[in-house]
Amino acid sequence: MSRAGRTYVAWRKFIRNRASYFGGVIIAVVLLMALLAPVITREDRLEIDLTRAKLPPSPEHLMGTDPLGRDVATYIVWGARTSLTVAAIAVLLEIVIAVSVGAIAGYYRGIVDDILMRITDVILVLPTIVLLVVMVSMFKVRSLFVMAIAMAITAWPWMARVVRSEFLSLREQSFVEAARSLGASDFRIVARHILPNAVSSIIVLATIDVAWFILYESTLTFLGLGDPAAISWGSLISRGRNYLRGAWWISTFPGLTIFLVTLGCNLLGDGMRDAFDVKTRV
Amino acid sequence: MGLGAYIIRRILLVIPTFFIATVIIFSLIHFAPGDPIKLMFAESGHPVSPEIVEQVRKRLALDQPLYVQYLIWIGKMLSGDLGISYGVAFGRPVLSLITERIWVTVALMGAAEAISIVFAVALGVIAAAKQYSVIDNVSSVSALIGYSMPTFWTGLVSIMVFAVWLGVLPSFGIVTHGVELGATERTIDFARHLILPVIVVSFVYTAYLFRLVRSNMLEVLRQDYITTARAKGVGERTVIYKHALRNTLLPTVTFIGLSIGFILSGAVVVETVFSIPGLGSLFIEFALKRDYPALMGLSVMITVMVLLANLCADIAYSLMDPRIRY
Repeated sequence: MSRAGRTYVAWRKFIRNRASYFGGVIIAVVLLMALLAPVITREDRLEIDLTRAKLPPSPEHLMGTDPLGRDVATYIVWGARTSLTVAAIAVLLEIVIAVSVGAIAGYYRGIVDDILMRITDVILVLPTIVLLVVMVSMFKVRSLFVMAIAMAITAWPWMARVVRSEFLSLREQSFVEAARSLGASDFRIVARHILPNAVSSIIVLATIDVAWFILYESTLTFLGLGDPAAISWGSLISRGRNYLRGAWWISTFPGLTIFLVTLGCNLLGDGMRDAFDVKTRV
Repeated sequence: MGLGAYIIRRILLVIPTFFIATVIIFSLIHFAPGDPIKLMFAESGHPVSPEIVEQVRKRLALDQPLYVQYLIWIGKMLSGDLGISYGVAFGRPVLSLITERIWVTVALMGAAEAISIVFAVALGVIAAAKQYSVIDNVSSVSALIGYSMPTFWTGLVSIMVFAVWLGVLPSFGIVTHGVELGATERTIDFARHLILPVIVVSFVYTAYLFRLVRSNMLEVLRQDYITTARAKGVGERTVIYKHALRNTLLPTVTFIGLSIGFILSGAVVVETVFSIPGLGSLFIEFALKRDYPALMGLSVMITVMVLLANLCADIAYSLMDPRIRY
């Protein structure tokens, strides 16, 4: 079957899957929320105003207010920007590292490959939160960008291994042989002939990793290692922690949001994995 | 290669892995921008004289070239000197802090691991054997939910429901303060404090493990020898519990060893949420106070724990599966 034909079949399979459809809708809603934050919310509701602190959910404040009088619903909408920005930066960095390393290891093999595999083995076995915490705490500033870098550095081994295994099998294919015999350079073979065939695996893994990155960003922020100035779901949950008795809404709603977004990414990732028949473990 | 030779080779393999891991931890902290010692003391909040700063710098050999620093540091680690905590515990050795707190973490992780394995394997096998049945759908959806929930939030919600609203379980720490208890009551009290944290960690981990067991089992059930067994008229129960289960459990054992890091990550978060004095909450305290020498020592300790768990899983695998030895 031609490549276009295969893509068509996979696409049909993907949109027929109701679960991944649902995941896609969640992600679309969150993306819109982040993009339209200034349009759909009033920014003055993010200002500190102790006269309206800890108000329960009402028509005026749909999800109540936090201990500093900020509207929880507005905060959640703006928090989507933070969450998605960190996840996007992290996933782009991850793809750059993983594709470079995986391509070099899978295409050239030999000693480079051996060293890479040992390093990925070790990073995969160490607890991710431990690595993240060590990395984030070594930076003088605590910022969103620092978290994104740390997450990319801990996450790339999985993807690099998948890219490597794709390259190992693709480099033996006859179309690569043909390109080589026509005198194509290594770079051209990798970029034009092999990489496009590995794109679906990379996209599937990236989608699943976005879910992890959103979880990690909120976890690090909750633990006190995030950006103290950012509007983050994790910091809202952490602020509500001392008011579980009187003001349950402060921690509950941002947590539900994180859950839904992560669920959306996982459903989408699982659906794509099944449709494109991609292996996510090697 | 015999079993003994395999086990020895596997044990030797731990050594290079350990060194790579320590190099990674060491370089992470040493490529940090800024002066780690100054940062550390600035964060700890109490005034320190320049002499002490210099003394600490000498002690940590920060005036030496990087590879010398690494060799000195790793030498100390190997002789059991995991460093001194300046930022958190005012000059106490990290090792004594660890031995004080390790048992809580081991109890938490061990209980969570045991509960998760029982539930994940039982549900995973049944779900795969009856694919698309009610029990399969319910457990698959629950697993997806468990998998997507942030652990720290699950912890807070469980505190809200069981400690604040229902008032049936304690919400923080590992002992009830201010009451005299006998030995038995103390144990019960300790267990009661661990119920919520263990459930929260198990919830995520069961979800994770369930998905793996289910997909392994489905793969095994599609193999030819299963069809052969069925064709020969073997009962469905025997096919599943005797023929398929064994081959499903093999990769699961390796996975359990590999995922000890996953459950440890859960413990770090849950100990912080429930204010449990274990290794996880100690680790976060070190990080927040930028207590670098202590952070490195504890990271090495955690690495050793993870590698040993891995080793045990691999040895268990080789005992169970004769094919692996060759």
